[in-house]
Amino acid sequence: MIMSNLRIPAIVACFACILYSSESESQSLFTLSKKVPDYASYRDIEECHRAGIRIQNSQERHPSDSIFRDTIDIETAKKHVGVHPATEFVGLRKPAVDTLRLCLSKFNPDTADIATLEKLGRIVRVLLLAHRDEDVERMANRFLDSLRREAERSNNSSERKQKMREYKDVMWLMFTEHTKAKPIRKDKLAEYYKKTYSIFEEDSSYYRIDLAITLQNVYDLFKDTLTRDSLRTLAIRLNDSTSVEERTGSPNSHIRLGVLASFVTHFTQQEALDSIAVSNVAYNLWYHNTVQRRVFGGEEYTREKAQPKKLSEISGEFYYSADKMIPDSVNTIRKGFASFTSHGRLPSNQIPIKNRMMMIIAMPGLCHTDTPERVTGEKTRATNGINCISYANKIRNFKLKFPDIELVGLSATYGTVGLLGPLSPSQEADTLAKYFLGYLKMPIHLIIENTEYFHLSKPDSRRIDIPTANTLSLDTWVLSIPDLKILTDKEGYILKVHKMDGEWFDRFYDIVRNRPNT
Amino acid sequence: MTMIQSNDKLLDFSQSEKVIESVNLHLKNEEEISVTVNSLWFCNQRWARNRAFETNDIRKVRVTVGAMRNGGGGVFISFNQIDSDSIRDACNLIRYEMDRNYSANFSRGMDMKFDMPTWDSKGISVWEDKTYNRKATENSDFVRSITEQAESQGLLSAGSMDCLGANFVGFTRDPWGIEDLERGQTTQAECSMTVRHPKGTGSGWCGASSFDLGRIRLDELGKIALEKCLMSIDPVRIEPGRYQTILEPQATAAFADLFVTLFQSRTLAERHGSPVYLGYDSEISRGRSKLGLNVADRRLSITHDPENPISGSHIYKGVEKVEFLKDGVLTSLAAGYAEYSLAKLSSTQQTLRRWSYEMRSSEVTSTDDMISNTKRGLLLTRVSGVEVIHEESVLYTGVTRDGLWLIENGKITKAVRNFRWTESPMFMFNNVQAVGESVPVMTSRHQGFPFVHGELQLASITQIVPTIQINDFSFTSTVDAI
Repeated sequence: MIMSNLRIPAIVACFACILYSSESESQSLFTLSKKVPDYASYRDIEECHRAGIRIQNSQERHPSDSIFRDTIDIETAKKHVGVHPATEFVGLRKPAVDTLRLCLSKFNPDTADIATLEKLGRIVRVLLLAHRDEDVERMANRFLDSLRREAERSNNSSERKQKMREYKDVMWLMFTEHTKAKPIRKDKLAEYYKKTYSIFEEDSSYYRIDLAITLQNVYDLFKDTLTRDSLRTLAIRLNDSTSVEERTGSPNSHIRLGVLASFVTHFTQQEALDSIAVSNVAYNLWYHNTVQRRVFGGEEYTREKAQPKKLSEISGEFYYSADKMIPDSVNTIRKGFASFTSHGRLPSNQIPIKNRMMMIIAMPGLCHTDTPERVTGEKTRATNGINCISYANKIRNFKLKFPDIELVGLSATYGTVGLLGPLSPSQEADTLAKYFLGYLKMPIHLIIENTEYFHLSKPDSRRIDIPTANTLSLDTWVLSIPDLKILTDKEGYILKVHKMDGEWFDRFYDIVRNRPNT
Repeated sequence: MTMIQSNDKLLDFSQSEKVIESVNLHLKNEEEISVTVNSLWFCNQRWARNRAFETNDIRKVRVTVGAMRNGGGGVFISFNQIDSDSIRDACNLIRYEMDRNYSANFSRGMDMKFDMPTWDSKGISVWEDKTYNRKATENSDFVRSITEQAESQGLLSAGSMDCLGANFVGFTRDPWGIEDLERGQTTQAECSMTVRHPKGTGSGWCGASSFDLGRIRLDELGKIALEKCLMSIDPVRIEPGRYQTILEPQATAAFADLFVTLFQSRTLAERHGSPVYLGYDSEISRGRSKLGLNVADRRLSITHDPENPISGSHIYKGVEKVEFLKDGVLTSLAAGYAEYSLAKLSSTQQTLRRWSYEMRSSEVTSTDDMISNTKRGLLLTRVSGVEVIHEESVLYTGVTRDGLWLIENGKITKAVRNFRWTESPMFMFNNVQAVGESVPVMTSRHQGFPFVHGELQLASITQIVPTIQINDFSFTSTVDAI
């Protein structure tokens, strides 16, 4: 604190030295020019643009002394010495805006070369810096009109898609340039997005989904102008028009499916159930055909085969339950591993638990215990310690919020935990239980499978794990996928879960919980 | 509270522990604390153009105190005043920040401790009294003798002579009241110098480093640098091309470093892109490295032996000798603990050792024999400006410096202008003509406090490498700089 208090006067003093230095010293790179450069002498709009970029960069990179010699005369600079630009942003920018306006007055934007998006971007940026919004809009519309005309004229579907992609890029350009140059004007941006949607509406669903992702992400920004009704309309259109195949048609299918799933917030219960059903089939298709088959091979799934299925019985050599743990005294724990022991093999037919919603979570997940970090000490706090603790908090909070859902942590033996040497399966399972249930207090049923393995011959000697029964039955290629979460309804049907929190999960939970029995 | 005394170079352990005791008392109500007391003595002399221009004899103390609540967030502060008032103020500041940022009422209720075992680093000691007892005035006398020698020959000398001593005491008290104290101490010495002709027509260099100043033959360093300078005056220009080249240990070390780097990550070695990656094994759905295969000349071996007193890296109990390369065959790859544990290779922390190594040959040839057996070749002192050209094929480039000589018919005949070289260690170490005896070379020391989080940083690196004669070493252009 003492140091930081000293720093501010030191900076001011430093600046004062620079400002009141002699004429010859002012040639230094770090001193300010004593007069404003003659922007009027710039030859073309490119030079104005470069000047604009310098203004932007100087303000972005040097927040504490962002007075750029190209933009401000010495008298203005003196007034603003030591003032943080965040509080004096407008005041600092005025001279810059004035000079840019002066510079741009020589050029007519209507005749500017905007043949490519890159050229448009440069001009848009400099015009926005000069607060010539009307010109920006006119140019953007000119560009978009030409794109739309070209798309309409074209019979070639790939060319049409390309134009639409460019259209979207223009929208994104408007969004980013507006955010960089001035406070976000929500109404203007929402308008751009609405226009974008209108052109995508009648074309391939892929682009509609892309647009939906963007809209969903910026929804909070547009709450005023883009109402929930309009978002619901969009969601219904998307849902109606996207088939299973369309939902799985790209490498980012799982993201697209997640976004579609999040639209359940806007649906009635029946609409949501229908959408969830379609998305689950899509997920099964995508996961099996693009991920699972690469590792284990097998036949390609058809749509019929990818229908939602019930969770098969979970197996596990070691079973621990948070409810059945007996708290140990600190003294016992200090002595070693004796504190947590398995309840034995998981009883047959115990999981899935009848008439209960369940969430299966991959336990190594975000919270690794196989890193060579120490749990105590600064290093750990910066790495796995924080992750583990926050992950455990998340799980505990989830259980508090959704007590109806039984949490099942699924893990397998890997031969080691932390810095412990090669462990027997039972030692390893006990250690994991001690960590997850004892130390992190996770309210879960912990099931640990014994992984069969073999060693490669020397000198390689690596341990090669053989996929476990749960890995195969749950269609997960390894259990250490960090975000593996499988929700089952009361009847044991598997539902793909996009994430464990947020408004959409509350709605999702309500829908699944109140789902009529089939 | 005891202040650091004027005649003490470092706080001794009992002084550090008193600081810790005091902090612990002030913060007795905090759930979890950590205190580290680092003490450093640094003595150096730098000279240029035969005149000393910088002499330092610096003592520093840094106390870092951290307090944590709820098993997570916390506040860390550092200070260097260890009188009782300063310690009290620092602790008050911590308490203030903790109360402001973290609620004392909230508790995760962690009522048990998870004992994640650690490697045993207690009692780290890479220490030699001879280094610690070095006085600044002795350094001055040494530098004067070096510069006088250079001056008497009409040459210019520049260089540095550094000695360092440091210790630390680390203390933690966890939420269960279990206290842990660990200590460490180290000394390091380093000397390097360049002697040049005033007209810039010749240059010679010599340097060495060790934790033990006694192992650095200071008198010889000056003589070697001087001799090399005199021998390298007025070099002639010869055509670039492939030459049989004798690399002195310092030059060998530059390439050995690049070579050993390939063995330092087992994970990378089993992925496409690594030069020691063999290929994908579809049977096990994993990549395979070149473990067990020949990757260098059959005479070469690379090991790390923590028991070797020269290396000074015997700091972690239970760390065993490891052989990365045995008779040219790749026998081991450095890896994290888990990988080794699972492979049941060793129970020690393999990654800790990776920077220190020793390259040896089963057949040793003296440098004189190498020269006398060379019909036409070059003798190289060292290289600099090493840059990567292509990582996958380990192709590097750089320049020679501080002495390059032509050998003709078994004799050194003339000094040669420097070359730019373009070469791969994979190629070099498979084209070995002869190998000499291995000696420690100079490695860069860690600047500042050498203990970070209770671990000794790069200060313990030791490279022990031989003079090596390579066939067809590739020099690609001449360089005007001397």
